[in-house]
Amino acid sequence: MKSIKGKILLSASCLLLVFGLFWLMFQYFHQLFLQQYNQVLERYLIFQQVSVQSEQLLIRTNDLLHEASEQSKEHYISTRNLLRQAQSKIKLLQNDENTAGVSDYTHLIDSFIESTDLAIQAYQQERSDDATQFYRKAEQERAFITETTLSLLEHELTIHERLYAQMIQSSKELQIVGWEGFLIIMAILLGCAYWISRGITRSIALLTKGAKFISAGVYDQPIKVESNDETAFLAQTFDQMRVSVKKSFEELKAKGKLEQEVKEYQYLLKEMEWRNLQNQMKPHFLFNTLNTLAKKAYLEGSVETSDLITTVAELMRYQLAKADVEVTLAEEIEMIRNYMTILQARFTDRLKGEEKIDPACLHVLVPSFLLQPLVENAFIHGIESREEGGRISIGVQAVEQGVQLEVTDDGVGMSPDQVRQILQGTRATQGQAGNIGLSNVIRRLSLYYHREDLLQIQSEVGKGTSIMILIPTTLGERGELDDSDFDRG
Amino acid sequence: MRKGKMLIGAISLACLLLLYLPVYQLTHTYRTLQQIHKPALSVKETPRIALISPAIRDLYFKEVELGVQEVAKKQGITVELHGGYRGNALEMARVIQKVTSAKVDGIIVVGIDDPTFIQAVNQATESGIPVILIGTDIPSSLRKMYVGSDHIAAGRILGEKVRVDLGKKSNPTVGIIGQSTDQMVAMLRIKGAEQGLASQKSMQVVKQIYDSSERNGMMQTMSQTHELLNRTSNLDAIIVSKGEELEAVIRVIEQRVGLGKIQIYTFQDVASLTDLFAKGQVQAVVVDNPRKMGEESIKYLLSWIRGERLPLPSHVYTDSTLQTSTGSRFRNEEH
Repeated sequence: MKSIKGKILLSASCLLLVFGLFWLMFQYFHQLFLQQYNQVLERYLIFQQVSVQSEQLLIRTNDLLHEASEQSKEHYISTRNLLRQAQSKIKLLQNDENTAGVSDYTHLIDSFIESTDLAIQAYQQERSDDATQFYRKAEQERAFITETTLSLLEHELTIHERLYAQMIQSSKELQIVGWEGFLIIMAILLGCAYWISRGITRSIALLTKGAKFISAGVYDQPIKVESNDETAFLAQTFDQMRVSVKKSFEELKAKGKLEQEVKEYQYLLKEMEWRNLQNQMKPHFLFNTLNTLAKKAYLEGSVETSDLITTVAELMRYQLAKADVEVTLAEEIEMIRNYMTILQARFTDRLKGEEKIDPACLHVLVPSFLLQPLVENAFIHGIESREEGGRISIGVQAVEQGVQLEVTDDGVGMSPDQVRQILQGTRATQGQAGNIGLSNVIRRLSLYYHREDLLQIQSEVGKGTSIMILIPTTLGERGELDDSDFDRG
Repeated sequence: MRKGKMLIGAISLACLLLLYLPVYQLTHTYRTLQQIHKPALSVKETPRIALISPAIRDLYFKEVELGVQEVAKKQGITVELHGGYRGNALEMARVIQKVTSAKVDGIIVVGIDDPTFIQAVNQATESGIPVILIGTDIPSSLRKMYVGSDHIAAGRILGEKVRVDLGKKSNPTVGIIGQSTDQMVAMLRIKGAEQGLASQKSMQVVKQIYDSSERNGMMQTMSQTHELLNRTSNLDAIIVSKGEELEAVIRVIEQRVGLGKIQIYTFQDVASLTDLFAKGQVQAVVVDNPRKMGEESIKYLLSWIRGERLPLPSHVYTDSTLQTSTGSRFRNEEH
């Protein structure tokens, strides 16, 4: 990961590098050209030296021929050495084009020095004629040297003309390189600036977008910044924040839902309680009255009436005692039997009751008043309106998933629309009194077992209705619970 | 991101290319700069030969030079050209003195019959430098040898040609013009021409020999031609002993009698002959072989320097050929 600082440093060092390279290059070429100029000057200097020293040597020779002092001899020798030195440098001047000229030049100087030497030698041997002759020769050779110097210089000049032309070209090229370098550096500068700023602004734009989503309450949009500087870290942290906000928000939502459910349950309980209270309005008075009525009927010899009244009293007692608790299926069935007895007493021939009960299932615990609303429903909606009456059968049987309760009537039945209405929109059909019981059962089942699919209705118009409830329990398990519950009850 | 990286790569590549070209150019320029001052590779001590001519731009001499350089190139020898464009004997003498002082290994020089020149040649020989004369021989000097045309033979060829051309005429007259000062060429050619003409007894030969002064060569030749024409009324042919005189002679003849009346014969010394030949002004020319002179002279000189052939023959004659206007053209190897 590169920080923004790092990026800036990188760009700066890159620029510095390029700049430095250019500087070095310019220095290098500058140095090279300087060398060339120096070389040119050095070459001129060598010619100059030869010319001056040969002139000097001629003068010294002349001096020596006129006045042979030690001093003039010394002068002569030193000048001669200087000329020899200059001569030794001439070799450096040689190139492919002036080979012959330089060679001539060297030999001319040789001849010249020989002539001056010979002149002095002749003078010392007092052959003044010879000395003069050699001096004349030396003079002539000195003239030749000058001539050759000039022609060589001329040659140099023509070469240097080319040199200068090349140098001018080079300096032009250097200028081009300079401009290009300037442009390149500018391009790099701009590029780096763009690179850095783009990295930052793009990241920030992405962050802003993310922030907008969050402020709008959309927590599903991930915030992702593909950058390698601090903004990426910022985005990452921001995204983490989004995730945790989303999480807590969802938790809150789940909690709310739960609370709502609890409230609903409480409301249902309250409703039950209210109904209980309503039922209890005159419970004991009624109960006692019924008992008294039963005894009175018995005393008056009406045993049948006495039994009926006792059944009603039993039913009432059950309602009073078992509201809102779990009961065993056996108790529930007992209560249904009582209820059926009463109904049969009321409608004698019109209602027939049937039972098909597996005794092994009777200890299973179920919410109280689970079957009663169904039976009531079957009777009110299915049978009561029929002239010829009907049959209500109650079935209890063990199935794979638990225990299945079944209340079947052969009454008027329902259309599939009605069935769907009852199952889906329990509240929509609230208006009808009988359905309150059915919907109550459905809700209590879902609350009690936390499952929605336990109640099923099979119905056909004119043929009757069958309502099945599945109690999802294993018989053994429930058996154990059964005992403890029984103690409590 | 990858796209960006590719873009950066492309840009940097372009930058490099943009930079590379001028830098390459610069280094190239610098290389050529260095070449200028590059010292010669350790030059082998080859013999240094001085080739001296008073007219180094002259096409005749160019041929000589070509011959010399051809051989020199083969043998890897440097030949340094000295001289002037219209040099005289004094100047040439000085050049010889100079190259003598410069201790060259051999001198090839166009001979000039002049005392100072001879003295310079002698000095060179005394210093141990061999001198070969070309074109013009000076037997009185201390030259090592002469390489060039045999002028008597050349004159004879031309004389015979004139004799053949005029053979059918009765009492033919031939004029000969030449400078007495040019002993070693013009006089020898005239001698040869006379020999060539001599076999026909009826041939009348009129010689116009004059003393030349350098300053006013053209005018003098013209006046001498006038005089020759004055002396003889019915000239059939004229032999011009030096190519340089031709122009003046032609001009006078053109003025006096018109071209075509007098047939002109001459020797090839100057290149402008080609034109005259083409116009049909000149009947026949004796052509030297300057290239051969160059080749031979340097060959002999080198063999002497290397001690292969001692002593050198006193002279080697190169061939002279006759060219006529009807025959083959003058070899046109000008450069």
